[in-house]
Amino acid sequence: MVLCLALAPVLASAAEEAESTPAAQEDEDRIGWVVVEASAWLPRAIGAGFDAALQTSVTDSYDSRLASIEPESSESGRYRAGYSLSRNLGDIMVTWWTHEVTQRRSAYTPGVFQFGELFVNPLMAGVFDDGLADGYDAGSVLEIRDLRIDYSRIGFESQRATLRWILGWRGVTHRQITDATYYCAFPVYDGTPIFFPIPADSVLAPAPDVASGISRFNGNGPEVGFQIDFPLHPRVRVEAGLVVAFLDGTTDTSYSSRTSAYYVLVDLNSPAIDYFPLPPFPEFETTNEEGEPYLPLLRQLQIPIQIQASEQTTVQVLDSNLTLRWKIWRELEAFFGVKVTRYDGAATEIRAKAATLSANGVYNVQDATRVRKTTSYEGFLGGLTYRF
Amino acid sequence: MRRRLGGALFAIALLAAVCGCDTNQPAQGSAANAQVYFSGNVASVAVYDVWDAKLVTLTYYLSTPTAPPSAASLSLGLWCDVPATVAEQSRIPAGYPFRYQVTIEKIPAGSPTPILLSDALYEDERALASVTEYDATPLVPLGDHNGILVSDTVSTTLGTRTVVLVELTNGRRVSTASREFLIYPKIAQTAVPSYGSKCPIGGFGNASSANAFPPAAVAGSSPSFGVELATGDTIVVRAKKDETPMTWVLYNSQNPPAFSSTLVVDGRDVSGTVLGRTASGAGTDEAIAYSYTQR
Repeated sequence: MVLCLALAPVLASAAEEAESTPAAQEDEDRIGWVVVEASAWLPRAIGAGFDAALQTSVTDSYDSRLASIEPESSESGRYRAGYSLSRNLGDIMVTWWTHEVTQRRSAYTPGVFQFGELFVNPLMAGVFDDGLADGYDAGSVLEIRDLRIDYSRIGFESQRATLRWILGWRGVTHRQITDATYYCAFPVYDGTPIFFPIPADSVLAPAPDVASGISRFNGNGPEVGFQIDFPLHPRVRVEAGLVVAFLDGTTDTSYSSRTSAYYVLVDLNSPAIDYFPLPPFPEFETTNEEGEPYLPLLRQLQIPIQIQASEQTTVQVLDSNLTLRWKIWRELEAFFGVKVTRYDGAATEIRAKAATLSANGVYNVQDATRVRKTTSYEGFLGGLTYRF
Repeated sequence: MRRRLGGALFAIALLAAVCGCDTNQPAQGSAANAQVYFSGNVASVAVYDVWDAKLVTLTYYLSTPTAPPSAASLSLGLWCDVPATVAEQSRIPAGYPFRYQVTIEKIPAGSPTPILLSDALYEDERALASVTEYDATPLVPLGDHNGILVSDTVSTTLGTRTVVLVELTNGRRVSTASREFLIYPKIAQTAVPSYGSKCPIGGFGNASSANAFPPAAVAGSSPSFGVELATGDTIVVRAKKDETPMTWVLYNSQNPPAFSSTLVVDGRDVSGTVLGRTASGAGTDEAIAYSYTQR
């Protein structure tokens, strides 16, 4: 976009020069023209947000806010190339667009457990098993590759508008990776801290709760649409288009979560769990009835949960644009407009819904949910087209 | 006209390129000076009058009564006596020494990872190199004691008279929380022979070496441990009492010593606003843990 603006004075001068010379005679025997187009699109991915944590207010329990990661606008290149046949035999165009946006968000309030752990499985989440952390770090990576091969031809033409119909094939790969880590920097429960041994014992240091999810769709299918040109001036026209595609493909999703819980061994000679202590875990500094410290008997149980799924899916793509095109020099056009591309159901989120933990430390997932999400890329588009 | 328009567009593009740069700048703000203190206290502490004791053996030769005797001496450590009145036998100390393990960490703003600021030496339960303040009450000088005659024997066979006595010099009144009292070996009241000494049994940490009584310090820094805190930084302090202090010989109160910590930031005591516990329970192995985030 910036490049386009920077080149504007040069191109304007060139257009002025072209106007002062006689227009080149078009070769009637010519088969057609090569068309190349480069543009910069600045889209924002709507609907690809990721709720990393629930921030609760320390003073007002009704004032809880979602800490979401919403992808910001980021520029990516969109390229088209093809051949435009003469005598209205149609255009064959290949369009390539790839986009990646990475976002991270974190907050830390050591000792103040105000972040609800939304992304991990709730089973034993949080150092005090209450699903709260005093810090988190979460991120989202959104990637898309979109390839189109289209054939278009004029279906209707008048002085005021030209309509082209479009038929084509489209292949899309869409991937979203999300992750979150929830920390316990300084564990305090209702004013009482956990008294960890000194020097620190890495086995008993509170392990952060972590979760990650991956959704990957890969599919292709036919597309159909139209494009209407409205001439405003011999050199300026407005272009509006709408294309719908139905893609058959496979969606692979996975989700993993790891939480942990303290437990007390029956004795040092047995791995059997005696019980799960309650916060603030006085076992860290007290002794049993025999006067022996609990500390050597304390352990930390890791609870990993992982789900994977793969399914055949159909994704609907809706592509629309509204563009102002300006012929600035001979067959060189500059354009600027708005473009919206909607991928319906391209991302799938899978979660373990219910998990249980028995007294002897055996855990089990009893249900899982899958939610399909729609992502729309919306933003301004600008670039240059040259035909030769 | 077009050239002007082009020039204007070029200027806008240049402006956008300049203004659109990444504006993430490091946070500005002055650092606060945090000081971590530790202290130990009991309701009262025992007071003793002590002298440097030396066992002296004088040998006189009966054949030459005017000649000076040959002398041999052996240092015995401190000899104790109990002050005459009950009121003098105890006092509230200014400080009560207690050895402890300690870690002082800083969690920088925007990070979950603590950085250990104190040396690992001060975590070692065998070293216990951190000590709370001793009783710094000025010593009351008592002068020399009369000394104690142990024996006076005459040997006609050898032609000698041997006098054994305990010389008591450099008297001073000290409390059992005083470093002056703790660092010296003492003649315990149960020792054989005790020479009448009333020194309590054992000692601070049951140690006999002066190395066991280092100057009062928090992780090697005296009188407090300093930490620089920028806005958003968190200090985490953890400490644990010596598990085998043998404190019962050090005071005459039934109440065990209280162990507490104070955090002062830029001269202001913020101990009341920290998260966690700044004072331990009564047990010998209880602990302190607290955090404070600079806002």
